[in-house]
Amino acid sequence: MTALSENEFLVLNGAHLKKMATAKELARAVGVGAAEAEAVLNAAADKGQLMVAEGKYLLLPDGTNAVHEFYKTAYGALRSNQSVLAWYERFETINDQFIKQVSEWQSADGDDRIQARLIKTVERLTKNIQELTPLIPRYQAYVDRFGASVALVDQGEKDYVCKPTLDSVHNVWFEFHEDILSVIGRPRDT
Amino acid sequence: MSYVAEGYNSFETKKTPSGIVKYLPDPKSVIALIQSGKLKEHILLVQGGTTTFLAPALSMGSIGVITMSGAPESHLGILSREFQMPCVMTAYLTDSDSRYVTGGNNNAHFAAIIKALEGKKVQLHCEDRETGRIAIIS
Repeated sequence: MTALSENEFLVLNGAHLKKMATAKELARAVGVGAAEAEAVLNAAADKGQLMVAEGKYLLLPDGTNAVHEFYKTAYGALRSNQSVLAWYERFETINDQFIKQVSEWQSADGDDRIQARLIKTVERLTKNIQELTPLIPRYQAYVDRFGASVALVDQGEKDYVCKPTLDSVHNVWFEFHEDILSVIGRPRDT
Repeated sequence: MSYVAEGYNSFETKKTPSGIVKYLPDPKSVIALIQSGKLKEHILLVQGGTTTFLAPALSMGSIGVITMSGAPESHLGILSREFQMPCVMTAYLTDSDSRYVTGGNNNAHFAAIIKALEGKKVQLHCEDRETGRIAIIS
């Protein structure tokens, strides 16, 4: 298996985290041009690393393995970095809080007070992520995406709280959670 | 109506989807099901509430999910409500005392549920606020 280049990783990792997305959605999320993303995706499809269903790309096991290999090589040193591991432990607490708040928000039909608390939790994570960006510069993309989604929620676009088909805060959070787990080499609970 | 299994209800709905139960243990099995074009003929059975590999099946319009662990306040619970797809979580067999234990060895518990449900045609009943129920219909 040939190791992925940095750009191939960015695009295929986008597919790994989003699970199923168009080239345009992936390009926007990871900050590369749409044409470049499409070229990487098509080359990976030719190698049997991903498949296309209804215009959306899904990583196949070979593609997932290639992405995991890149994580292992690029972030191996961080897996024993105590400050990163301590950061993750703190994240777990905020994550539990966020998941609970999203569920409450859903069952309260988007109640404004619950929404305000939820957005505060997102802003807290966004601030915390900036502690990691010197080690993982691509995490700035999460800061930017959270910022854009929160701004839309603030403008009354409630779909940007957790609609699965948009770059909603829940979707960005979910992808970030998958990403940091892959960085520290920890499998997600099934 | 008698119910073979029940668990937490992700959200109240009058939808009563029915289909053959298909156990999905890993991402490969999800992709194979999507490729088969028969996703909507099945009620999907998975182990956990954070089964992230199920996301493509949800996006492609899966009709119902049963999990053997996990709570409605999980990523999967959140997504099921957004997709308005009935979801019974931490299901257990009604004729058995075996229950999921957090942090315990649940292999025998999971195996018994898979054996009882896989390949059977079931219907999900999720109109109750707390409890989602599963009936075998043939």
